[in-house]
Amino acid sequence: MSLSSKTEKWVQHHLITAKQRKQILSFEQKNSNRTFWRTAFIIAALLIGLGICLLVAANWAALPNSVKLIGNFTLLGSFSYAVFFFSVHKKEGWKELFTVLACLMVGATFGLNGQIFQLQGSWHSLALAWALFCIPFVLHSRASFLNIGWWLLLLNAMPPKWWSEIFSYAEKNLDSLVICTLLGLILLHYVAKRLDQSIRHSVLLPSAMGTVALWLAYGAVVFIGIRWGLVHWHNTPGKMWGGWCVVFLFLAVRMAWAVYEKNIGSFKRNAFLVEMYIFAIFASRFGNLWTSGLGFIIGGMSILLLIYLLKKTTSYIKKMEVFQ
Amino acid sequence: MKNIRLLIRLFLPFFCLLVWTCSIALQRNGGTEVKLPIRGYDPRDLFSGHYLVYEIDWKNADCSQFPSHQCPPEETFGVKARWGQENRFYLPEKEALKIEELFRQSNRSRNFRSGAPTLRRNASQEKPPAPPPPTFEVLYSYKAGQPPYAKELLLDGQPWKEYLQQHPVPDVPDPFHKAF
Repeated sequence: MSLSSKTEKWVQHHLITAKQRKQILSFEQKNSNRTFWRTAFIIAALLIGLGICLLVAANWAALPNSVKLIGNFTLLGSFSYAVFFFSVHKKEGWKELFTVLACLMVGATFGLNGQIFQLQGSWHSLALAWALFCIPFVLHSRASFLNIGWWLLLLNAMPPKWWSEIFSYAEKNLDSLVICTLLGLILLHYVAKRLDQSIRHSVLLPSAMGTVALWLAYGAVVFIGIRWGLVHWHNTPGKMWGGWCVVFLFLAVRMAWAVYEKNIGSFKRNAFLVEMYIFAIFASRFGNLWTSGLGFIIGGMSILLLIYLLKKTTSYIKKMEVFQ
Repeated sequence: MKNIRLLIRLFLPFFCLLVWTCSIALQRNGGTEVKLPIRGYDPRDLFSGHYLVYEIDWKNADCSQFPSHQCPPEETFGVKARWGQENRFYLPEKEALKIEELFRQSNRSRNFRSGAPTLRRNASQEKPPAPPPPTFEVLYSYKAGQPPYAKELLLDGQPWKEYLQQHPVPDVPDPFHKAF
């Protein structure tokens, strides 16, 4: 239901006056417009910035190196000044546009120097340098997109060898170290959110770190849930139970947290994941053609049941006292 | 005052990058020039359209060019990879495929000269002999204690741009576009 029809109903039921309705609608219109413009500015900045990076990557032979360098630094300087100018004049959209552009230009500068001076280096060292040089812009930005992007760039600074070692360890072991890492990510998310509240949202980096930590935690749970709970269950039944416990405990904690924070959206999403995982456990039990055939029929029926359960769960969650 | 602080903060990356660029340029110009022969190791590199990946052919390198008249340790040049030391030379997008094709031919010809057997055609089927592929070298700026900087790619002793002007190479179809 749209806000307009919702508020019309509220007026009919004498919950708000017609004047209040008008005020609410004009406030929402202003706010949603601001979000729209800011998003449009960021998308435009991304396209322009990536375009500049691609032009640098094409490495034109026609232009002398000195011209390329002067052009690059002129652009970087102009973008940096534009961020300052629009910050002083309180033009949020333009400020975010030039902040994103300046961050991409920092990466383009590293790329251009790499080409001109034939620098030998890996992607992870570039990601580290890029992330460090972007800190002033990211601290100044109010766009969560840029802040989350910065944390993801910083994660890329970890050498690929480490990532592969982490994955191969988690693939072979489901032990206290893996569980502690998962708990550490949840703790990091919690600390980041608390920090964000204490600094009153003045810098978005902690909040963005919390979001990235939560994504990583979900990623780890999905990995453990699939690897130990679904795929290799016949080899290590003990670890299969371990995998299930990790998934259900994690989702239960998230749901409990959602109840505590009265966040109905989060509760519904996690309830949906619990049901999907239960379905996946049943679906993964089927082996040969005969049982697979039966499995598919039961699977189809289960989906219908799942839809029914989801509808029931959603209406039940909505009726729950904690969310009233 | 607050605005000046903000301006300084926002221009910090600009100045740091400028200082870094100038220091690289100075280091690059301050080293001794050494010419080192190169060879390819993996023609299937995904990004080969934009840079040439190579290894230095230390067996055929002239070590007397170095200030100490000794070749430095291999690890000084390039980045450590599973197959050895990986070096890159960035090339313009338009010319990269031509150079890579020549590099491949040069490597093949080196293998042929090393004694690999080939089939001989009939005299009637024989095409006019193609010119031999060029030798590949990279001109480095080297100074002990600093990373070496590749300055120029030399084909038969000439900078690659001059070589391509004198020996035009037909356009090579882009395997990436072909695949799609």
